[in-house]
Amino acid sequence: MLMLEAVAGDPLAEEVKTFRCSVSGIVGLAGTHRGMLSIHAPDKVAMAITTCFLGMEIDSINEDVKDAIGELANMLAGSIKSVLSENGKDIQLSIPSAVHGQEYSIECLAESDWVIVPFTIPQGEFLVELQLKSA
Amino acid sequence: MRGRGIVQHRAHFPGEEETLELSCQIQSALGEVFGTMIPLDYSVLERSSFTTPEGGYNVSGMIGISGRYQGMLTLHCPKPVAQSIAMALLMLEPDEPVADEDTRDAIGELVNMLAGGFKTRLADAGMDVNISVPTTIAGRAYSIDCFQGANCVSIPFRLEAGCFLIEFKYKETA
Repeated sequence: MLMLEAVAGDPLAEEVKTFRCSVSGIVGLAGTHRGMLSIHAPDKVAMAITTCFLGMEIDSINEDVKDAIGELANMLAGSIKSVLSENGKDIQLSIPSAVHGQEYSIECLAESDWVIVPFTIPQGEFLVELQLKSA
Repeated sequence: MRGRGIVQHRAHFPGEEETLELSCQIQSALGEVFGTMIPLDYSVLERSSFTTPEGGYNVSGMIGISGRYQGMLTLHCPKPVAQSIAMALLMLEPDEPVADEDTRDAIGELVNMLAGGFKTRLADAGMDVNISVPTTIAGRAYSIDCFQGANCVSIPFRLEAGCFLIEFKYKETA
């Protein structure tokens, strides 16, 4: 949908919780599975993704970038939802949010299983993080 | 007195009655949490009197809501307010230091309990929602936004240590 090739790397061995000059799109999962799906992208990468998404040049972090990264997290969470549950109604998504700042840390509080996969596009790397509350 | 009444905030968003009702339910849920778990006096502010210090280190708790309302419930506070809440929740003595990790955990736990109480009140009103997992964000310079078309319930509160803000941004699914 984005016409952008992203190459997946190996899942990270350790959690990344601190981000600098980045945008993080976050969506909550609730229902039979509870968790959080996040996309963490440095500003430059977030702008490149948004440029592809909207088909227009983006040169600063604005509301369009935050909406785009949030929507990307929303779409990914939607795909993951159908993997986790055959009945699409068992898991529901929250509204996406976007965090942006010069330096911030994000931490999921639940006792959860997690996976973080790095993806590379020409403009740099972004991370996709899934936290699922342990049964 | 722990929480003084419920303040009717004038809503500036579509569905004014609904926004006022959600505000009351959130205030009620917070009152229950403070009444049982966080022995601090607080008051509900009029929106116009809400101020937060510029800059500084802030802590936010966030939890997803899905079902009848698809939204995100967040609580934002400056670090001293977060520490005050953490010390009360953990029953620390006034001179006991509170670690940054415990402060963040306390704000995450507060938003988790708040969401639980909110869910119960919505269910009593015939509206079923589910909640995701609590997440905390902390740092010196960050903003949190939901998509531009979301409805918003925004309620400021004051403790002795300072002000904090609860926001519920949502869209209806029904």
